[in-house]
Amino acid sequence: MVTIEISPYGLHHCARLVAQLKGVKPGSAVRFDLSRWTFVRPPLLTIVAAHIRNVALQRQAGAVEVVLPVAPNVRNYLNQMNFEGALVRGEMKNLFEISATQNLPICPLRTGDDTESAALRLKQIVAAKLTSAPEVGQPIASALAITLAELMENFRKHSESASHAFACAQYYAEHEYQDAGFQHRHRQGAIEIAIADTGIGIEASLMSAPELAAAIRSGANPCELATRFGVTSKEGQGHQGYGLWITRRLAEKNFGSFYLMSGKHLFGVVRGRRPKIARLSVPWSGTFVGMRLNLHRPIDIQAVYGELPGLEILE
Amino acid sequence: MIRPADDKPLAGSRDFGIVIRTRIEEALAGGDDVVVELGGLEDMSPSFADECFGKLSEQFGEDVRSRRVQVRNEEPFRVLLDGVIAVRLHRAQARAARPHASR
Repeated sequence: MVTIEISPYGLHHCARLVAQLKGVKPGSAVRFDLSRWTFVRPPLLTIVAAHIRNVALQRQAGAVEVVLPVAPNVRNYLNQMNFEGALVRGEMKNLFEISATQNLPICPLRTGDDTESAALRLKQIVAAKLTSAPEVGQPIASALAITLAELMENFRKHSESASHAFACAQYYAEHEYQDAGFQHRHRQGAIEIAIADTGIGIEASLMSAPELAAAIRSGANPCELATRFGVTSKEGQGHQGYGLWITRRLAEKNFGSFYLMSGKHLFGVVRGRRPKIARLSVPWSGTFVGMRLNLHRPIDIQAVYGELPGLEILE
Repeated sequence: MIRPADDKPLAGSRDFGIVIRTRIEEALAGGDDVVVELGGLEDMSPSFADECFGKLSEQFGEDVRSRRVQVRNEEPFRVLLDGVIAVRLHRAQARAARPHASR
């Protein structure tokens, strides 16, 4: 049995997960060792869930073992987030019966109903945290629900994966941490959304569209390209490319952060500022989207919609 | 009358957009004028709006709300609907102007 050790510290440590998986022979038994986790956040949770599920699908029952964290607080957190249920049984908890009010548990994205249930539950969680000013809180909750729904639909429609994507979200009352070399601080609350899959990836998806393939061959970062308005590989199949563009614009206006990671490429907006574009040392299997928005700053999706009619569309 | 909120409170997927658009198309094909009641909907995503109202507008070659489809209580979603319909019509016009384009 091959043991895969997964560090919980920072997205860039996921490269080690991917590198280890590349060295595993097809069909061999695999143990995912999460025992040393002392904390974990939604981005790594969704990435690990997607990879474990994908590896399990390629093997017979019983060939994949997951060693859960030793730390009780982390085990409790994973239980709240339905980590085992989502991985082992591919199920969603009944989101509207759970008592936890901080988190949206891991949701496997299989159907449009999954999308809408998860988005509605996230809206309830956020609205419950912003009751002191409902005239502000309700639009924010709606904006987050719609953003989550759009991102989920992106993954459902574009992943082309034998497995499905996983999404989850978490509310932070006040939080400060460092990630990928940046210091993040959220006062008066923040919401973090994360979605990951092990599908074909952004570049492969966009390469099916001739004009987008040309842009990529000319050096465009596929992840940055995918966040531009109207960019979709499925325009001929009725899609219009709203999801990632809306997510990027909301993060920019909110001075929040947004990461899109796929294949060899990373694109990010940190604190609403100048985008970060990078190539990864180890190509990433699939796609990850992460977003952190400050709840004390505007999250005005109507303002983003208002930009639509006047936008130039990449043709 | 077609009322999406009777199915679910959040119109957040293209799949649901196809369901509602199909109902509208079937009603129109039957010769009826159609009323789409958006009251009761908590939220609407761009993908739903595009799949339903955007594509209908593209079929008609003009804003679907200016014809036989009356949309009631659209105010919370007006900016979104205006935007997705404008994008669909713009793209259709651009394609029509380039008949030999690859897509």
